[in-house]
Amino acid sequence: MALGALLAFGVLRMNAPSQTVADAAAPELRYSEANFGTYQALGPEYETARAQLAIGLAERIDRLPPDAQLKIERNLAEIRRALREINVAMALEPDNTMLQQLLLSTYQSELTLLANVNKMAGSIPARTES
Amino acid sequence: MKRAFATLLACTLVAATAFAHEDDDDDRDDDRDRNYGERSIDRRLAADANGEVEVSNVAGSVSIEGWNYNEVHVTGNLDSGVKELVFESSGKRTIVKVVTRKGYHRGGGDADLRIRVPKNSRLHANTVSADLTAKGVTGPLDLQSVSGSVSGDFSGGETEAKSVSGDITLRGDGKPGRLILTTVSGTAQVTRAAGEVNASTVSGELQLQMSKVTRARMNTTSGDLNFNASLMPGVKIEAETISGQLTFDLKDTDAEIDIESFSGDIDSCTGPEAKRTQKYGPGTELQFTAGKGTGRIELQSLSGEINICTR
Repeated sequence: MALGALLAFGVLRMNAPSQTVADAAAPELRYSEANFGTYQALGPEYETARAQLAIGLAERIDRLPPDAQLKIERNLAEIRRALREINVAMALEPDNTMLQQLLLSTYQSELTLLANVNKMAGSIPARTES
Repeated sequence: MKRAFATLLACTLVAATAFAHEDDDDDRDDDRDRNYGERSIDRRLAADANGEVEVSNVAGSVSIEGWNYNEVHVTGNLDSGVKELVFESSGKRTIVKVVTRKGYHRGGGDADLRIRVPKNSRLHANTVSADLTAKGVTGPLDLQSVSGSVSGDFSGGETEAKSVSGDITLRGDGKPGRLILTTVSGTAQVTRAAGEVNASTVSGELQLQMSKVTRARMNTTSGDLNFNASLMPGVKIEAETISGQLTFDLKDTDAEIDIESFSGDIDSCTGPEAKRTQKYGPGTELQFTAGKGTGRIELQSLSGEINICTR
């Protein structure tokens, strides 16, 4: 349930104005955005796919075992912590190609995680208590 | 950069679209008043020697073995939370699917299955919390579990294993193939694999022991990677982490090596020492050539430590 709210919140935040690096110390479970790589900057296809995945997962996450839900939540937070760390580094070296690659790769990791978990949760019947 | 990323995302976007409209499997009859009871099963169906077998289970265990007969044989026990075992065959496709009573996919509904399939079958198996084992199946393998463990052996060809929190333990037979491993927090441990590997995790650990490696692509967010392998000429290896530790122990290395970290340490037991990328900045890099340099190895980290030994 908490993860569902987190995912929905993340989707809503996608349309918010870009944050600056000064926001890097945002609360643990908030989406952060890079000075180089805001979600918007990655293009409309990326935004659409990510929004679909986040909504789909929010709807289906309850089908997964509670321990798996918790681990997914922690690991999404881990990815977002990594994004914040890269943003901080990019503030120091905005032209660093390796940092740009790591940033894009980390966005890709988030999308892959959302896609994989969404697919797994989608294959489990919806919960209807007997 | 954006164009390159768009290409990188293409497969994920296709997958996203494919299941964004996936219908829920929620059309079962209301069976709340029925008492199915615990029961054992022993059923067989003829199957194509090179056919496809799909297995799905929620809780309990699944043990799949390849054998020399052209039939699928299912034995095991179903508890009272299991509504039915769907076991059917159509053309080259055989389905073994545990259907739980409503509400039982998150507790109870255990099925412990032993399934024997023609050894050359293409196998797709998925579970929620059930542990999954596959042995002696030489066709392509697609194994996944949410929180159960995934284990077994494989023989070249295509092998894919996925989990959220379950550990993956696989053993190859040294024949070259293509291996794809994905976990969120589970550990993936692979021995005797060869050929190509694509492995990723967020916080889990990747422990890969391979031979005759031609291509490897690995990434972690905070998990550690331990890659112990012998390499083929012309090999291409890419690995990256944000805060995990990358450890490479490579034999028969014939490649240009390019390692860079923003703030992590780089250590090579055989090559030159890493040097700073800027006089006052935190970055370090290490570049050297092992052998004739026909291949390429690129390792990157944000803050994770990178260790490499080449022989």
